[in-house]
Amino acid sequence: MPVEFRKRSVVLRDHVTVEEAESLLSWLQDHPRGQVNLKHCRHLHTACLQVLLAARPSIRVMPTDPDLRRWLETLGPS
Amino acid sequence: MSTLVEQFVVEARELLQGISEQILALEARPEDSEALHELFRLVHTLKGNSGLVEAPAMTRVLHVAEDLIGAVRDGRQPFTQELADALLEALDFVALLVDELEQEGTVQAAHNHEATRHIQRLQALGDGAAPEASPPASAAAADDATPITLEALPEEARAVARERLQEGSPLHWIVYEPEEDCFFKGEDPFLLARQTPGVCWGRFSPREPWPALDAMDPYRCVLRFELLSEAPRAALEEHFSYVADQVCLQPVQASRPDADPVDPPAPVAIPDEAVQQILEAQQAVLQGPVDEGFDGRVQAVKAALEGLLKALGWESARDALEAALEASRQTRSPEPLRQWIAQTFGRHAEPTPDAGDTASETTPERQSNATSEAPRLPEARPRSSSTLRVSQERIDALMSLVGELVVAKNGLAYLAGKVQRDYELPELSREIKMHFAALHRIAEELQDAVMQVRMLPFAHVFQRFPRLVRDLARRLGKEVRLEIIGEETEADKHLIESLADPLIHLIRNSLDHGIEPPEERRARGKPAAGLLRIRTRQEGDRIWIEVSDDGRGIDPERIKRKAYEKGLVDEAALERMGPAEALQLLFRPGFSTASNVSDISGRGVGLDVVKRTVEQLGGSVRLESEPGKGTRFILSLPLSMMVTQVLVVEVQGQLYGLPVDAVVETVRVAPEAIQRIQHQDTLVLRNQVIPVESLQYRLNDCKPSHKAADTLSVVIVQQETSRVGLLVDDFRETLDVVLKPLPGVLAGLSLYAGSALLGDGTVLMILNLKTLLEPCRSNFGSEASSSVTT
Amino acid sequence: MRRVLIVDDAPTVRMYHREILEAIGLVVDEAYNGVEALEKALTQPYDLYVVDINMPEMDGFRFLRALRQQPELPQTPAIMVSTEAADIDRAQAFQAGANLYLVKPVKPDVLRQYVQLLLGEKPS
Repeated sequence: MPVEFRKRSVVLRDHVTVEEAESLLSWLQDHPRGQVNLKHCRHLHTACLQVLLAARPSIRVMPTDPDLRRWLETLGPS
Repeated sequence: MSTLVEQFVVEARELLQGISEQILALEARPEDSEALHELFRLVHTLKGNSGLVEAPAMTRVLHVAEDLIGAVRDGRQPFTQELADALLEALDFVALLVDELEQEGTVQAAHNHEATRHIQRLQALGDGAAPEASPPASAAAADDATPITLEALPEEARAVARERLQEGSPLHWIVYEPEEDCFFKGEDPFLLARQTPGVCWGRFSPREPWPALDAMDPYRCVLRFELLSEAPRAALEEHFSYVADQVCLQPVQASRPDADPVDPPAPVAIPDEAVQQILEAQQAVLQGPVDEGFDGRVQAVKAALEGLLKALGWESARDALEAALEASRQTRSPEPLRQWIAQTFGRHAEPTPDAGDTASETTPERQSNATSEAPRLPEARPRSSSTLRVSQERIDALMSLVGELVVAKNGLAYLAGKVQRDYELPELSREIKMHFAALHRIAEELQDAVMQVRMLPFAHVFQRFPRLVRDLARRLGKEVRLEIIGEETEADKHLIESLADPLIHLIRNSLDHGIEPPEERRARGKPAAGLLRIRTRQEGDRIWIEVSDDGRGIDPERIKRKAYEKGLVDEAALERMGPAEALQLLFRPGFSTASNVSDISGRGVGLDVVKRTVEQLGGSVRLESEPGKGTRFILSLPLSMMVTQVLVVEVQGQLYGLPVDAVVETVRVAPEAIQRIQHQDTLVLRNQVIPVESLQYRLNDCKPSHKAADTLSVVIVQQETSRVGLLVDDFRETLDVVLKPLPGVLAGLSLYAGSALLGDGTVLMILNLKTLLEPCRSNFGSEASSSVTT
Repeated sequence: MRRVLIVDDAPTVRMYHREILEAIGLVVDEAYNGVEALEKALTQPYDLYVVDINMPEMDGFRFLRALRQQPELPQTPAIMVSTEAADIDRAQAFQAGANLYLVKPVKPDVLRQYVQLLLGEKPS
């Protein structure tokens, strides 16, 4: 599963597809303090990226993928 | 907490206060452009400061607030109630972060979400009238073939671009704005951007402010991608061929359009970016007009270049620089220096093309223009600011040290006596006394001086009132005009601060119970907006504060009835009670009840607490009201208020205060330790014979009736040069009290220095040791005193 | 001993810059606006000025223009620091006689590096 919703955080893995955008959005709405773990994420579909940008959750772990990490650094290490 | 954060917090609070004042001023007069400019300046400064401490959430919010206020200032946006609300709330949030910064030293990342909420709200407001500033290269505007210069790139990309250009790579600037419905075509613009060949820099940003999450459509693409790529143009065109209409591809050019980006590097190895920045800056300075400042500027340029040479270890080039400077000064032309820079550092240090045409062609007219505009030294130099900002804690610490000094110096008086008595050294004793006298005087002056520092204007507490009144009025659906008179009146900090809560309570009371809703006021022929007036003035050694409104007033009969219902007065008292007296019932504990407790003024605190606080400060409070016309609270307080430290002692169940600076020590002794010598009880303490007096006897002129206790409690006090033991039933704690001189009849009883009101409402009598211990001049008559003469 | 004059009306900013500059062994003086800065410059030579733009009474542009017109003063480098990143401010700063333009907030290492370069010290 590319997306795993836990109690207080959501773990994104590998390629997160456009289909996940909606559930990601509603989870972040329900968990305003929810954190995001991107450690094993290698790509996020633009739709999901937008959700993260709009919701600005705290990113608990940045991706290990160096390229994605560089792009996402604008999200801030919050 | 670091001093920087400390300083930031102090300044931020001040700025926030100023900001909220300006917003309120604008609410009253939206056309007040001065207030608007001031507001912008304050927010701008606060934003700038916030960048210095670790508080990105704060900076983000302030940045958006600044943009919005800027839009209002530039007339792109009206100043509305809604806007004021959003700004005030955003600033409350900022104030919260400032508090956190003060307490924790940092701002938690957890606030980011909240910050975003404020940002979105502010941006949504700005959306209507303020178009988003277009990015440096928008896809729509730029023509594909037109090269883009380094300077036109966003700052973050510039360094990367410059580096690549120096390496001789072709570089392209790509702006990709995908279609809103591109997801439905199976596109993933982020993936496309990431996979761009030769990409060496990239970022994404929203094309519009993010909506609230619940209003967000995740399937509408609103991102913009900006990229730098080293790949050949053909490869890029190929990569973006399916979305060519959404992409703008521009070759990036070095600063000068005619410079060949793949030119061989300059003879001297290209210095790093900082050096380059400095060189470019000097070139820019040299482009300035040849005016009165020319000589100074070329010298400064030379100084900067000299520093650079030294830092780079190229001091051999200094002579040539010196020569170039001389040539420039003599010919009054920047050319020799510019050439020197170009020769020494190569063409990369040359100026940007857009500003490069003026230097050597400066005409005489321009010169004279520049000269006439040049500022001169101000004729009368304003005094430089000599204000020092000191935190209140430091003043308080100073004050308590002064208190300790006052007590400590008393030891010297005792020492003088001891030297005289025990060692019979009158010379030394006198000298010690002289020093004591000097120290005493200095200590008193010091105390006065610190008291002066502690003086604050009432504005200190009044400044929060406009906001308070505004918020309360809105919540209650009332219209209120607040008038503050005499906010410059000064009083001791302790007094000012202690009055804040009572005054807030009176304001709440007025808004809640006094001022009527607008319809009701209109019906009564009053203006729709109620008037709430706070006035302070100083009269002699007293401060008067009035809080008045023109509301519905208080009906004394209703108060009487209520007081009777609550069992606060009996029927007989009710009959005798006049209307003015009846109003004072409001101050009785227990008057405030559920029937008039509201969200606003009823917080379990009644007017009785107001009264008690004021009385603790040595003041009084009075209430006047005329039904239908309004209500007025009048507070009267002493201007100077000395805090006295007292030791509380108990005698026959009654408490008394002894000024601590007279107390030498407290001892407990066995009853047999007190011996009667020549009609005088005495106590031998560390080889010294101390007379002992019973406080009870002194006070009540009756035989001491100390119970047969195991131990006796004796307070040793210092009265001038002699020491006396005072026999009491027990010692209690020491307290800081505000000494209030005795009124009326009691004033004659100078056994007491005054009274003080304790926190629980009881009165503590403070003893006047001087009269208490002067046996022959007792106020209780000569018969009594004769019997205790030693 | 090298002396620097920090000219800024915001005490927080002055303190921030002071801490950075003192850490590299410079003696720091402060002025809260152009008027005070000019007074100080006339009584005490400085090796460097760090100047804000927006200040009451006399702003940074006017201060620099006045400074550069004092023939009896040693003309030493000036860094203009401002929250404004606009090219127009940059251009004005150089016209007034600033030798460098930095956008606030200046990161400590950036300020340190430039100050050292302008004062002829090997960057640390």
